[in-house]
Amino acid sequence: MSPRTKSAKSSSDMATDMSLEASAQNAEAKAAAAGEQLPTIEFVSPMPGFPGHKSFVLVRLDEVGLLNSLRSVDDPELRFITIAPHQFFPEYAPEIDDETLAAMGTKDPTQLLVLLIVTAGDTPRDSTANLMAPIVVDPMTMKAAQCVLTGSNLPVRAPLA
Amino acid sequence: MLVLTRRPGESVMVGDDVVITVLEVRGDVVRLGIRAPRSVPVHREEVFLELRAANQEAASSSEDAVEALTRLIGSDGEKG
Repeated sequence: MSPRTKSAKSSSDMATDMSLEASAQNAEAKAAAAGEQLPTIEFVSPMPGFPGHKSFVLVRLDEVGLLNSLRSVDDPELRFITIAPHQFFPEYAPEIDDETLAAMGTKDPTQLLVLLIVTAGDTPRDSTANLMAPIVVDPMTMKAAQCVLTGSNLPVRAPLA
Repeated sequence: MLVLTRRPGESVMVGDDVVITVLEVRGDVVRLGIRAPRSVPVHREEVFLELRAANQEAASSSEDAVEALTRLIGSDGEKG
């Protein structure tokens, strides 16, 4: 158990989980406290393994938006951490298929936000990102999809190191 | 498991709006065409299983690990 204190947190129902990630929690809490409308995105089809979860709240965890959390509206315990590709994979330029674009109602594919799901390892250098199935978000329609880049041979677990 | 015999060009309906058509049979390879509503994701089974495993693993990242990652990204981000 971490002795770290959670200064700005007031909700006592979270007290059971002492090791809650502080800055991530704070970013979400801060946004909520500021009465900020947290952007809710709607998946056009559920992510593999999570049927029934289509609405997620997207929250920035740092100033520049490299790191985001994606938390299920229906089950706040379900949370994904995503990174913007360019910091670790500058060459990454996924081609999103027309079906997915149509499903999201995308008019301008250049506006799409691309997020990579991260699996946090024991150390940051053990962490991996899913290049094969990025999450794409259309900021205009607020629709999202986990787009499977079939035939790309991109790894599902690409090391960040 | 329901077992049906189909020839190339013939189809199977799943529910009201999923159509699976046998396009071509060549040796031990069968090409299928699948028409389904956008809300019904269609994947090769092995791809689906791999993605499901990866997603479930990602969703259960420990808070400590996520925190360490946050610091890494933060520091790298500052460096540019």
